[in-house]
Amino acid sequence: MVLITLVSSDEQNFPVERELLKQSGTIETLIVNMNLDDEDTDAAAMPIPLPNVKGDVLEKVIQWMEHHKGDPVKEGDNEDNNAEIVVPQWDDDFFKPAMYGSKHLELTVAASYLDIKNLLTLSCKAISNTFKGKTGPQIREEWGVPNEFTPEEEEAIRKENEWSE
Amino acid sequence: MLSSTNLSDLPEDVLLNVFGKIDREEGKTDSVRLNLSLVCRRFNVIITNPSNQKQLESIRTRVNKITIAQIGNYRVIRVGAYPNKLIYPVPELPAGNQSREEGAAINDNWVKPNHCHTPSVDEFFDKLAGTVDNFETEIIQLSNMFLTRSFISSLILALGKRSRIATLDFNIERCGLPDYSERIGLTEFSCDVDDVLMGNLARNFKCVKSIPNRFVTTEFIEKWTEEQEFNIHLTSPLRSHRNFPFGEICNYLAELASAIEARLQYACTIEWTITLSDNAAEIQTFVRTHGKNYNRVVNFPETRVLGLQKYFHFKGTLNAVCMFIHPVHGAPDIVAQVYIRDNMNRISVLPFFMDVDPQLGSTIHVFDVTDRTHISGYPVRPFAAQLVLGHGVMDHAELKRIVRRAVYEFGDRRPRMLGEEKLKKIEELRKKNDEGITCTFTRQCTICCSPYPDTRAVLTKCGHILCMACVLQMEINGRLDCPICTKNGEFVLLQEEKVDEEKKEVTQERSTLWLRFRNLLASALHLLPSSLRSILRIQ
Repeated sequence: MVLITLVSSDEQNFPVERELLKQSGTIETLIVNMNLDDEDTDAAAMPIPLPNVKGDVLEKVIQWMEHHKGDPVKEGDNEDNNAEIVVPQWDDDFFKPAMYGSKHLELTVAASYLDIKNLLTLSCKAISNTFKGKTGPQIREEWGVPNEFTPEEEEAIRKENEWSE
Repeated sequence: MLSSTNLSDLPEDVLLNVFGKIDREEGKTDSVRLNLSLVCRRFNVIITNPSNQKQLESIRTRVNKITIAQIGNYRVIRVGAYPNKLIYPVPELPAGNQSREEGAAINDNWVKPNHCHTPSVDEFFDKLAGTVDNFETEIIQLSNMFLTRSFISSLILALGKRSRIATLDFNIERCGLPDYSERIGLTEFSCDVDDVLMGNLARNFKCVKSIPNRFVTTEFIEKWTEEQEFNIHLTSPLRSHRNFPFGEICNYLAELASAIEARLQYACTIEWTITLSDNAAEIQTFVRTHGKNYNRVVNFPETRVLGLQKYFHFKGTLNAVCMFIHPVHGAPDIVAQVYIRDNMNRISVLPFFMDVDPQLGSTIHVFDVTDRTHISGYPVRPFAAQLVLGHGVMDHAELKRIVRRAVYEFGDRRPRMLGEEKLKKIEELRKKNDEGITCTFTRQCTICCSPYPDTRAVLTKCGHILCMACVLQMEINGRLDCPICTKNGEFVLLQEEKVDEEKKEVTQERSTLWLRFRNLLASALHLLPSSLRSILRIQ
């Protein structure tokens, strides 16, 4: 089993199975370009730095990848809009503790940066599910977004959209 | 990375991804879009950005149609909700100076001007762009309007950048509003609106319905020739001229002919029905006055068939378009067959058939008209042509079969150039080869070593490429054996796009040196025995 070391922004080392990293488009490209797959390359001696991902987030990402080992990776960016995305129970439980906090958002950003399509899809879907049936102020409150609008501005936006209510 | 990330700080592409995954709640005029806009400024900016609309499809309310209408002094935008049920109950339309409150009682959503004055054009189009962003619609209708050039230009601007909408309809009568036909009616066009402008407008749509006849021009039609699935919509305006007398139809026929030619280039098939005079003199007048350049009007008295033929160059080969018009017993139905073939080896047949009076019975004829067709303007020689004529054909499978057989037989009968002609042609080709165009890629002929032959041929058995002059020479000599692999077979013209003038200029400098080198090499190689030459070149 080939192990590849990922280094988070806070200098923590994470040895990860080569097989798992196929899920990440960004790392996969790196591995191929650095010829880490060659037998005469000492993969362990070449850690991959990920300066955009913090250690605790990376840990979560690896945890997620371990559970989803061997899942088919979607090809291309063409998302099938007709197919409804359902967040599986395991993932729901996985996301839930961090929901509404910066941890989940960081995980989502990391998934976007590392190009892990399935993780990005599911975590985005999990966020969008929290918007369901909520008003703007409710969403703001839940996610702790500061209110930037003056009442006049808010009124203007409502007016723009009045026909859709 | 920030110490604590906030929802509003997420990168734009991630946010778009999140927004795009929101479940659409069918049947409910959901206000997710509004609620998200109200979360923070950044969300509002992202959601209202026109270039993001494609990804935000799922949070747009689906509606059947957006109608733009002129009612009294107002230009109004009406949004028909989804599904159908909310569309057709038409409210009392606000007319003239009616107050806003009355309009507000209307269940149907009319987006009205903010105040009781006619909105400025800018305001109106801002509103329209906003409406198009907010709703996902299939159809945009224009009704009861007088469309000026500036209005259409603004409309093009308002719709630009957004993803293409399926349909633009100029006729509100289609939506079943008989009671309002007096007040809501066809859209009129100011006389300064031309088909170039209309073509630009049409680019924002996948199909345009109820196009006024004057816009059914070649240019206009060409915008959709690539969209085969929507071709069917285009045939309706062409088809609706059944009962026009010939004199009136002349203009449309000219358009039609151009449209057909345009489509032939894309190898699209279309159907059409036209009413035409069976009077040869009238048709000849038509051909002359409309400058269709049909080289020949053929009259077959025994079948009362009139044919128009035109030859044009397309992708370096000579093609013939023939329209045959066949009046049946004075009835207005005509069965026409258009086919093209090029001057080498390829033939394609595009049948155009339509329903005719079933009482007339059905017949299909295949005529060999080779002896009667000549190409004028080119070395005069018989032009191999076969005409499949049918009328009252109901059994399309049978028709297809007959056409296929005709094509098959026709393939064997391609015109062979006579010996002298060939020699002339070879001489001409060799001259062209010597003039030499400069190319960066290799195209040297294996036989004559001409570095940049003008026209080349592909041997059908093995796919090796030679220059046309050499191939013709081989044909004269009697056997078409490939000099590279000795396979014996036929040849076809290699259709090549001519090199772009601009590109040529760029590569000119580089290629001059290369050309000199190649010429030197070629002349040196020429001294070698031919067997050695062919071995060398295979590598």
